[in-house]
Order: sequence, then C-alpha cells, then structure tokens
Amino acid sequence: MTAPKVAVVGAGVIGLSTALCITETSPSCSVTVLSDQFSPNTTSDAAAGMLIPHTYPGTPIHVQKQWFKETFRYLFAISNSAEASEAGIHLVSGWQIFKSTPKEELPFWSDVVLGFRPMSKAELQKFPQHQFGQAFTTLKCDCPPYLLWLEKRLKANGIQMYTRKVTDLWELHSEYNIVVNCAGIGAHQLVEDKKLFPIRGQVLKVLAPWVKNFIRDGDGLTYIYPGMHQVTLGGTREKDSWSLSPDPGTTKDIFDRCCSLEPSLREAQDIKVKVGLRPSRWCVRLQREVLSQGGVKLPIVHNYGHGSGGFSVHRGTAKEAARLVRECIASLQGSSSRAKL
Amino acid sequence: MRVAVIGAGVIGLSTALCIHEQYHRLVPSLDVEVYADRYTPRTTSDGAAGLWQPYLSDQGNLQETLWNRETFEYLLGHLGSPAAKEMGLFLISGYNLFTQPVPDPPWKNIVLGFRNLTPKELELFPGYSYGWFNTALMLECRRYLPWLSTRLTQRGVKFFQQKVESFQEMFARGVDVVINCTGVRAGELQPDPELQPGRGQVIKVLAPWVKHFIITHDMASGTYNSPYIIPGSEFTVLGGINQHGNWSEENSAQDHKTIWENCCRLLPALQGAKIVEEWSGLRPARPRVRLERETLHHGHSQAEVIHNYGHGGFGITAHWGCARAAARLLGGILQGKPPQPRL
Repeated sequence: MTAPKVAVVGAGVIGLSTALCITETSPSCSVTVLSDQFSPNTTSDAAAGMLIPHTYPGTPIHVQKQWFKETFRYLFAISNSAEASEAGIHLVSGWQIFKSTPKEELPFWSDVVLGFRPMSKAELQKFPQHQFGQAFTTLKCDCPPYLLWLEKRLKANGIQMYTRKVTDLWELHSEYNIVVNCAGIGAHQLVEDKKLFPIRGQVLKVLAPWVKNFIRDGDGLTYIYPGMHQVTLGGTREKDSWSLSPDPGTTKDIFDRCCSLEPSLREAQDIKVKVGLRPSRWCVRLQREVLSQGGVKLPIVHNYGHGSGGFSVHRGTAKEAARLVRECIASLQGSSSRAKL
Repeated sequence: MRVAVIGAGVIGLSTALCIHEQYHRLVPSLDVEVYADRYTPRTTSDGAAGLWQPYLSDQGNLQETLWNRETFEYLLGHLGSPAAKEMGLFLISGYNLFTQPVPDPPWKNIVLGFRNLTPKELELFPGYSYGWFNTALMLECRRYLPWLSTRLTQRGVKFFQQKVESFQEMFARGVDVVINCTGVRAGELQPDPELQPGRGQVIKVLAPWVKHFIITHDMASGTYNSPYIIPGSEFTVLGGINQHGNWSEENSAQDHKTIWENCCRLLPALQGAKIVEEWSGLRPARPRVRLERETLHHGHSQAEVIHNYGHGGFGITAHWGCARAAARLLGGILQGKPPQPRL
C-alpha cells in the first residue's frame, strides 16, 4: 500500500487537528476531511476555546494531563510566533472563583498553566460572593480563526475537504482504506454511541474590548472569556438537551450572571447568541475498531467524546489518533504483504 | 473666591474636579475656571497609554508612593460603577521584565496579585531572566478627560481656550488662587531648571489578541527607554523612548524603527499588527513633583499659586492623590492659614 487513503469525518477542532497530525506523522497518506459542517458552523465555533481542562471520569488522570500538556505546549509555541494572530491563539490571565472552598484546591493541570496560585484577599474583594479563588495564565483559541488556520495548513499539505454528510462509516469502505471518526456529537447517530450525550451550552459573544482578564466561576456555569474581538459570556450545561435554538430567557440569565461578576459588561455592545452541544462522554473514545462485512475490512480510529474539554486536549488526542492510524497502516501493510505470499 | 486652574491634562482637570467636589458647598462663592491652550485629545495625557504604574523606585519620596496608592484605591473603587467604561477604566494584568534580579518596588502591595515570574513564563521573553506579574489598572485619558470635562461642566465650571502668559495676567483679572497644572511648559510661567521634557514616542497598532501589558526595563538606559507594549480598549500602544531634554514633538523615523523592531522582538505576534497612529509627547520630568503653595505679590496685595506639575511618566498614576493634596493646600488658603515656610 503506497499511499493509504484516510478519511477524517468531522471538521471541528478534533477533526481538523487530527487530520493535520496524520499528515505530519504519516506523510505518505492521502487524507481527506469529510463533514456536513465546517467553520463557522461547528460545535467548536460556539466554544470559547479556553485551555482549562475538563476532567473525564473514565480516563486516567495522567493520560488527561499528558494530553493537556501536549496541547498547551503546541499552542504556546504558536502564540509566541508571528502566526499567533492569524491562528487566533493568545495568552490570557484571570481568575477562577468559588463560592465555597473546593475539595480539590490544586487541580491536576495547575502546573501546566502559567503562574497558578491562590488569589489574594485583595483580589477576592472584587468578588464579594466568593470565598476562594485561583489566579493563572492560560491560552485561548479563538474560533473561527483557529479552525480556518488549521484548514489553511491542511490545504497547504494537499488535504482535500468536502462537505458531505456521512450517515454510516461503512459507506466509505470502497473509497478509503482507513476512516477516522471525529464526528463529535454526530457520533451519537453515526456510530449509534448511546454513551455519548449532549450537554447543551448557550453563550453570548459580545463587544467589550476593555475586558482583558477572564473570570470563571468554579461551578463552570458562569464565565467571561475575552477573545481577540469578542468576549464569550457563558453559560449553561443542560444535559440531554438537543436544541440548537437560542433561548431568550437563558440569554438574559447569562448576561445578568456575568454582569454580577463584571459590572462593566452592562455596557457591552453587539450581543450575539450561539449554541453548541458538547459531545459528552464518560471518557474520550480514542480507540481502534475494525468494521467488516463480507470479508472486507475497514479499520476505524475513533476520536470523539471530548465534552467540554475539546480545546484543552485536542492536540494530545489528535497525536494519539495519528499514532493509532499508523498502527492501522502497519496492519494493512502487514496483511497486504501476507496476501501477496 | 475665584480659582483658576491652568492646564487641562489629567492633572488640571482632576484637580479642578477635586477642588469643586470638596469646597463648593463650604464656599458658596467658589468659582472654578479652567484655562488651557490645549484640550483633549491634544494634551500630553491623551498620548499616554494610561497604565497605572509608578517608577521602580520613589527615590525616598514617600509622598509620591502615598499619592500613587490613593489614586489606585480611588480608581479601584470606581471599577464596579456604571461610569467605569465611560471613564476608560479597567483592570489589566501583565509583565515587568528585567535582565537581572531587582528589589521589589514600593508599589508591590498596592497592585493586585504581585508575584515573581516563573521560569516557564520567562521562556516567553528570551533575554530577560527576572520579572514580575501583577494586575493593575488602565485609565485611558482619551475617555477620562472628556468624562472629567463633563463632570466639571455639570458643576458649572467654565472652560477657556487660551494660552496664559503669566500668573499676573490671572491676578489682574481678579483671580484669587491659580492652580498651576501646566505640565512640561510650566517653565514658561515661572522658570524651573529642574523641569525638563522626557520626550516619548509611541506607535498605536491594532493587536486585539494582546491582553497583557509588557514593560521591559534596562537599568542602563533608564525608565521607559526600553520597549513596552500596553493594550488599550481599542489600540495597543508600543513604546520605549524617553529622551531627556528633547523638546521635539515631531515623530522620528529612527525612534519608530527602534520601537517597532524592539517590540516585535519582544512579542513576535506583533508582526501581524496594523499600524494606526504615531505620536510624540513630552513627559514633564522633574526630580520630584512640584506640589506646593507659593505666595506671589501682585501690586500691594498677595495672591496664591498652588503648583501641581512635574509628574514625569506617572501623571495618571499619581493624579488623584496629587489632586487631593492640591485641594488640601487650597483648604489652607481658604482658612487663612499662612503659607508653610520653604524648607
């Protein structure tokens, strides 16, 4: 097999970064991205893209930490280069605040972000309802810029991208040798994964360029994340809600909650509303599978179910997926040479 | 009681406001006026990025540290108010970078969350081996001065556009107290060899991905003669020029090159930034701020001047503390107190 044909299904941050890693580690592959949605209409486009990990109950912590470290290192280098503004990657400092002191004062990622420390009493005075807080500096990936930048890198590497709704992975078996499933919430239908469920998030994107620091309530429900052009105000975590329509009552509630943390947001302009369905799962499904029908095999690499932590671990899981693709290629080459004997 | 404030930069306008707030009820006849040849956006204050940050050392001038603290706390108190955006006031975090360890500054407990930089953070800034991180405030004068002007107008303070040639000219008109907030050109009203221009030049760019201030320090070249990057609400200010004794308000191509190259080396992401404006201004540099009362003789009578100038590159940083101090001096005059002997 000289040039294995790999299809990556999904063009959110996971699909695009996985496609990029595959071309980096297996340059002989011909990679094609297939998705029914591209930026600015992916789940990733609704996200703020903050590098603050979500904890997956079903994945060992050291693995999650490795993914986060990998992702942080990769983005840190871009943020410090001439490409930073095009890629939409920038450092941002701020505070995570808690109404009552959390059980775990030192999250597993505290030594990966920069300058992590508890907030001082003086800093906490800005948040009279909160008793405890953590200050740190982390990275933010603005979307669409980051996805568009990934698409540009992919095109430069000769990757083709097509708008196509894949309804069944098997339908690709005649055109491709390996399929990588980065369908995010789409995997619920695509591979009928009932362990995958949406956690609906509504956010506001507003103009408030004087907001330079992030503020996040440790309960994960209220957050203010300043991006290049807009500030993302959040949010909601509605388990099992599939609705992509913005809810006006929720909009007002998000706005009020954020204004109580940052009163100057009352002057924010140009409020836009977005909704995304976090592809949530007990653990990220990052594994190989082989589909077979009538003696024909189709190797699959799954890379989906990143929930609210997609941006935080995307590069780490993409690299692991690319490694699994290499394994698939090696297997295919092994079996094809066996077939020749 | 006629009080004339000369100068409409951050010092003049804030002093006028402070005086009116404190005394207009106590002194029903109080009449405050502002005289200036330059108003916002053409004052020195308008060109400043607006970062609250004193110099590294107050050189034993504890007064200045107190004025700085008073200003910070006053502004911090306004952060949560509906006026904050209109004032151009917001929190900002960032970095101070050094090539060698330095003592902590006198303002370390005034700003929020002051700490040393970690080795990983220093990796961002090759060539710098030591530094600080803290959260401070921005006060953009392009918004703050109009805000002050509106408050003053609401209070009935009158503004006059004219160049005042002498203190006597004011007294001849019946002004009782002159508040001299003339900044770098104070020497035109009364010679002051200690007052010198500290010429600065800045490039304003569009770089909305920059969320932190970055101030570098080179102990050899002196304050603000080393690159700095300060993101505002609309533009990011790039600077790093402080030429003592240079009166030119023209932009220099050489300085442009210095600023641009140094800032891009400091923050490679700036290479993608669009240049929007370039500006030169003169910091009113003085070994210490001149904030004192002086009694002048006008014919057979006495007239009072309160000097409030010479704030160098920290006018915004100290402005409110100085305004309050000037107001206290006016209080002394109103109470008929004799002037303090000159030390």
